[in-house]
Amino acid sequence: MATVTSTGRLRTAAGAGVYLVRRLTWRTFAYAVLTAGAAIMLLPFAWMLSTSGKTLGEAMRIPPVWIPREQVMVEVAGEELPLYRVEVAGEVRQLALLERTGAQGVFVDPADPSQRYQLPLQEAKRVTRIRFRWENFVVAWNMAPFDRYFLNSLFLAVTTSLGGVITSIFAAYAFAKMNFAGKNWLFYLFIGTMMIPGQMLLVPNYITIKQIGWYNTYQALIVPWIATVFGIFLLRQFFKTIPDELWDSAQIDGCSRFRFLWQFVVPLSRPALVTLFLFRFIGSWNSFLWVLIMTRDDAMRTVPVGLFAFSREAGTDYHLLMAAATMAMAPLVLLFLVAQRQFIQGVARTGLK
Amino acid sequence: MKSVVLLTLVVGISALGLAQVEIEFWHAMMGGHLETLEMITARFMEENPDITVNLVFKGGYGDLNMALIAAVAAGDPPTMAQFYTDWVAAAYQPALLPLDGLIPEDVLNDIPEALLRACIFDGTLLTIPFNKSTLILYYNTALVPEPPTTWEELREMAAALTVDEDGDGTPERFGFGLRPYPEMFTFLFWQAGGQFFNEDMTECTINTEAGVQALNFLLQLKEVSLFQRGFLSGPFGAGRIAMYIGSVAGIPFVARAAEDGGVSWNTAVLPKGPVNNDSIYMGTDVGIFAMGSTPEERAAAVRYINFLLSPWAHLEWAKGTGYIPFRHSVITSAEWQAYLAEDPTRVAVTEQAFHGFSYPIHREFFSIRGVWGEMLEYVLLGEMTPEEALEWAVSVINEEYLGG
Repeated sequence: MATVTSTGRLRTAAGAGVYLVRRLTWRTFAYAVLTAGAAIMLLPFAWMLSTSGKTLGEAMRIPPVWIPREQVMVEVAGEELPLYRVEVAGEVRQLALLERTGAQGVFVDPADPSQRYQLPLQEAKRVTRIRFRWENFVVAWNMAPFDRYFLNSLFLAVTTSLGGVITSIFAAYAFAKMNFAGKNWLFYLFIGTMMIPGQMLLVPNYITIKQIGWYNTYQALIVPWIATVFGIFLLRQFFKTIPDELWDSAQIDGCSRFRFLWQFVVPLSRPALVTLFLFRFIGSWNSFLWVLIMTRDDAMRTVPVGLFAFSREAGTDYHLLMAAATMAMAPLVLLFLVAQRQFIQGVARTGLK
Repeated sequence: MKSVVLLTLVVGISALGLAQVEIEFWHAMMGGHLETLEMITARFMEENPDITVNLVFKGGYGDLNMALIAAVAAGDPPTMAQFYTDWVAAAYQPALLPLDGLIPEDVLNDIPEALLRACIFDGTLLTIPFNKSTLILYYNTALVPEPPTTWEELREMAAALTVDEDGDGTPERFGFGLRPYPEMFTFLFWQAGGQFFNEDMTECTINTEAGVQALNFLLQLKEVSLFQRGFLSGPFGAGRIAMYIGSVAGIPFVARAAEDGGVSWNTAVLPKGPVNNDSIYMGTDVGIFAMGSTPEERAAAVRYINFLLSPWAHLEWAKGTGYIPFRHSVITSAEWQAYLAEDPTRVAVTEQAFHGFSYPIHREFFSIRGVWGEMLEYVLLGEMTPEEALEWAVSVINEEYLGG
């Protein structure tokens, strides 16, 4: 028996079977690749979450420790001692380590402390049990004024994101729907500025901020970031997908450009606006160097500056840093989960990768 | 009468207000280091109520340098800051206040000459040592009862302690841990009697017997070493390596990793090379900006620096941060000796503090050091022989940075 495919071609039962197998194989392969990709992407996050509950030693161990553990302690004659697995006269026993003397250790039987054994430390294996150190979050939180940093980050992220979206709407609309002399050149000029590395602009921007008296103020952290070329580009691409006929009809009904923008273009562009807001929010939330250079007071600083509290020139407190990073990332994950549908639509429709 | 008292009070308070000087100190200290600095600064302000010191954290060293470049370009730097020697030579020398005559002679004579030499630019004292560290040997006392005292002993012990029980070619335990960074070459080169440059610093002179000796020794060590780019305190604390050479600033990390891994450890002075057992002085210095500051601010900053160098502050700084104490009178004081009795891991640090050298001053030193690091990697990764690598490094440095 033959069936007609969606493209109008005839397919026999055998052909359909081959097609089904091919399709299934291809899908299996695609899902395998995607699953592997997702696992690779998730691995650092899994390490971050796991490390946030470890000790520093566990965090630095190679090969990596995925499940945090702790040394089992036993009480021997009123003293807490670490428990080890050792071999005594061919028998594996669990003994407590009383003291170290060079390469040897003095071990005692917790059940009978009068039994003591001098054994090589190298042969003793520690007895451990699973333990996630939740207290790392408390220690990390108290190592810097994170309450203030979170408030600042939230305030700056919301204001710069909203500001960025609003200014981008106006500029993008002009570039997408209006005609004026030099429009394309001006747009290319805007796009061209995206190629200038931010570090190059840091010194002249610092001088400007100093000269207008904005050093160590919220204005310095907000105003320069409420215009975004990326945002203009993103929204322009989206606005261009809105048919011009809509504006023609609106014009016939006496609609002004401003009203058309706010009552038609903006509601139709919700996915792109949400996407831009998210991008701006993440960018602002992670902003470090600008905040550090443009401010003096600790009260003006943000979460990424706080994450510095765990690094030194000779090492990093990875367990605490990961606990702080988990806390720092939580608002972004939450925001993404809330706006996920709009975000995916926005990315898909604007051709962003 | 009441109004007279009130007027006197107002005038008095205003006068006090006018005399108040506020200075800003840009630094890169965080965590426990910052707490110690804050504690010392609070004591200074208590003793000098007319001065307020604002400690301003400016991120890591790279961020601090960028912030300083921007501030100097704007003509408005802070009163004081931390500096690496090569930053001063490259960017800040004309903007800094000469400190000659502002720091008491007896204090300067109390500091190792090699350390102070890195603060003198074209004959002028511009900075003062601040958070200085040096390299020491960390060793697992369960495996190494007596630390090695010479290169040869270190090599032999490391070989003997490297264990590959299952014979798969990857030892379960390494005798040594090796992290490739320029100082691993430079201190060995110095210990072999090498000089980095000729006298007028127009030529790099590492392509000598001392250079070959240092690189060959590292190649031999690598055979019995865990070779990795990350910090070694982790594998050391887990008992995976028996010894390694690292900065004293790593002591708190080693302590925690070793406690966690149940490893007993201590520190020792560096094993002696063919000529000496000197270590490299690392870390930053502090200086005062003449640019953009008032005479009152400069005077206040000088008072603050002298306070930082005072025996009490210097002792607290060394104790609280783990950086090396560098005033001879402080190291020999009863307080410091009492502290050493409490913490034996600092005994070697104290001894090593007076056996050190500083890099020569050159405005391109950051890049030159980078070439040394690249050279070391070429050798350790087997891409060049020691002789080839030394010749390559010298030609690059002479042509690109020393104007040859």
